[in-house]
Amino acid sequence: MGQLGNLFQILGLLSGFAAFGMYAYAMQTQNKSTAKLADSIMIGQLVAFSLASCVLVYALATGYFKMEYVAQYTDSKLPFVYKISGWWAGQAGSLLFWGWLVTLFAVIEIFRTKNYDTKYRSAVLAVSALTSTFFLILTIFVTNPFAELDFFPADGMGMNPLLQNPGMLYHPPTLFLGYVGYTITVGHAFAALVTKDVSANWAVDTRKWTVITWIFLTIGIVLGGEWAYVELGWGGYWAWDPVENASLLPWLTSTALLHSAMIYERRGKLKIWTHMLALISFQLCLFGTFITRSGVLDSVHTFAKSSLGYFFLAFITLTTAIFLKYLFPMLKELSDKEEHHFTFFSRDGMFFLANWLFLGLTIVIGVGTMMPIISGLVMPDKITVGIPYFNRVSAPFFVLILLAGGIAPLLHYGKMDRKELIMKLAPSTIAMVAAMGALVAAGHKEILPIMLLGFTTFSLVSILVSIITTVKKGGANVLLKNRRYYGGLIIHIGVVMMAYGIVASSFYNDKKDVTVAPGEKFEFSGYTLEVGELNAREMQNYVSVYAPVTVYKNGKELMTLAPERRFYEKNEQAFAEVAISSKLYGDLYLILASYSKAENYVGIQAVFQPFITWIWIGCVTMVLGGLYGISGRKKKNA
Amino acid sequence: MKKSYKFILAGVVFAGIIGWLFMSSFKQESVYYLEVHEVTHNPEKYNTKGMRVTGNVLPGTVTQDYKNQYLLFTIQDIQGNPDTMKVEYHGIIPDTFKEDIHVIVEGKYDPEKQVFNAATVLTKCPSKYEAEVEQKS
Repeated sequence: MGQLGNLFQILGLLSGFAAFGMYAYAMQTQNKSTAKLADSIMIGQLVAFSLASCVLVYALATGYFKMEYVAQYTDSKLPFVYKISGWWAGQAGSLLFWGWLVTLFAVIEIFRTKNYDTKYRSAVLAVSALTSTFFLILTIFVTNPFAELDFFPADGMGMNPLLQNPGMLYHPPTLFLGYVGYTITVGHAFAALVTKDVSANWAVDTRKWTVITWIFLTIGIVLGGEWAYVELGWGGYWAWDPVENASLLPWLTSTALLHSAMIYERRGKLKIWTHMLALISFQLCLFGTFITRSGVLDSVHTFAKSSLGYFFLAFITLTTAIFLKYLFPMLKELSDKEEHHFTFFSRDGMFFLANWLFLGLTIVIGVGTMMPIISGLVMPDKITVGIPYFNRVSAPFFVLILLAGGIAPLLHYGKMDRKELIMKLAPSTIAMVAAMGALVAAGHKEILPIMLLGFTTFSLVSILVSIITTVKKGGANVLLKNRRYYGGLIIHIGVVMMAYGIVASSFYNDKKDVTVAPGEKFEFSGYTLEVGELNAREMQNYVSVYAPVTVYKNGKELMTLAPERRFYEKNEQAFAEVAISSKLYGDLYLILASYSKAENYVGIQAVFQPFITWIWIGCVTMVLGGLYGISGRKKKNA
Repeated sequence: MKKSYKFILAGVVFAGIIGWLFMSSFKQESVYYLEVHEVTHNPEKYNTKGMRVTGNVLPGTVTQDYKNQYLLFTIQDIQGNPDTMKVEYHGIIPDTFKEDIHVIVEGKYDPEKQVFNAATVLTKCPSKYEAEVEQKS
């Protein structure tokens, strides 16, 4: 079966080379028939890629353990869905999955751009063809999922229990979708340079692609956080791990891209910036893979050390060089003499500011993540930075971004009257002071969270004021007509919700460790928890031991939670499965830390995380806002 | 002209703020990123800051007490040096902790007792597990 998969891979590789060559040729000569032929070959590559993927998925599903990859990540007892998820669970398979997505997106783009200028669309598709072929080179020559063992193992090694979580089904694919889409965006940025088109057409044309990709990236990152939150030992929803940071960096630059593209379109400014941000977002997606797959950084996530990272580095260098080669001759035409003519307290000013903030944040987080590498080069000792560093450097940026995101929608483009400005900012300022006052009155003393919650409230009220005043002026109809503006505002509201959740849960959480005999009660965070007798139950591929914990508040029984420890067949150690009760005002999170039947004790760790659910609600709101922003309204200039 | 001046000034101020933030946070919050042999050879030098050390848990050295949430084990240099270091840890024992795996410990070294007091013990996320498939006869 491995040979069959390899055959499809090689067919894909050959068609990739051919398609890339033809697109490159068509890009120079505008030869329409060459481009047409290249389109068919690209579709051929998708077919070959899809067939190769089918072979892999079939091998995973049927437990063909002769293929080493199948034996490494699955076993016969693994639940079916997790067998399938083996496609992206391991190194080689995930690269195949990624490459397949690139080709899939390229084919969608082939049909979407059918009537575009040959030179332009050939440039777009050349980028895709090069990228998808690069992934095939990796899966054929560096880490091949179809490699076969010279014997047939009786069973596979199984999937790590920590990965047997619904998160495995959603998190990696959404993240990959969020990476892959930027191939199209950067392709258009490149094509605009190739055709010497300085208009905002490319940015407008890729807006939907960019927003959808951004949505997937957002979902992917937050799902990863959610998974880390429910899985013990991964340091909560965000631990500033290099791999987490690697996914955040392209998110930050692409968020900046979305904003600067608007200035490009509306004001004809920030053109070079926007081109660069498209390039950087694309490259950072690959760079993240370089970090995680090369073993240059010690992370809790890293894949095995391999030469793979250097292939990525080479590809990044090569493609950046090509992009810049086309960018340099255009610098003069792209730059705008009026570029610097703006006032800070205008919407353009806020957009400029947002760009800087996102870039600054990318730099401090990027430098922090790369610290062991950088310090190893310039200093005698390798130095690294941990969670406190990232919290400290990023907090001021997040605060300013939050404030700018609240103020910007209130302002218009160009100069603003000072009186009007003050009038518009008054309600949110009052709300901010009121919120801070209320927190102080409630007995909170720490200054930082009070300030942060105050700023968040400021931003929230500003956004609401923008919505109310514009609707008052234009009628409820504007909500439907100007979807892009309101979609953006909904996203900002989502960000504000998330900010509340993050600030409240990181500063006001409560934690308690107890060891009790079954039947005993203990007090925690306003609840009374009664620990019951230990129980066990047998599941498909594990045995679960759990302790029912009954939760009372003010003498009333609320619910029974059952934190457990699972014993999987292929693993010696037990895995804790936390029990969570999620409410809008906070999560009660119970861990079965330890137990012994012989010594008759149960160890429970109880955590209360106020408002943490709002992080997930905020994410959903951001996604809905993004979808609303791109819904309806056919694009006007294509 | 005047406007572009303002623009540059704002840029400089902004770069300054980033620089200051970065330097001050870096000074306070950075930790050494070390291998076991570097710590055991030169503990005083590195004790000025926190340390993050990577090592392999030596089989047969683990004492774990789930009830009192206590962990004592020895890690060995992963670069092939023979150096080892004792690590002590109080807290919830990570699920994936066991013998013969890579761990990252963060904390300080106590040169008198020759023990590393770990504030956190991180075990590697399983996405990297690429164990060799063995032939079972």
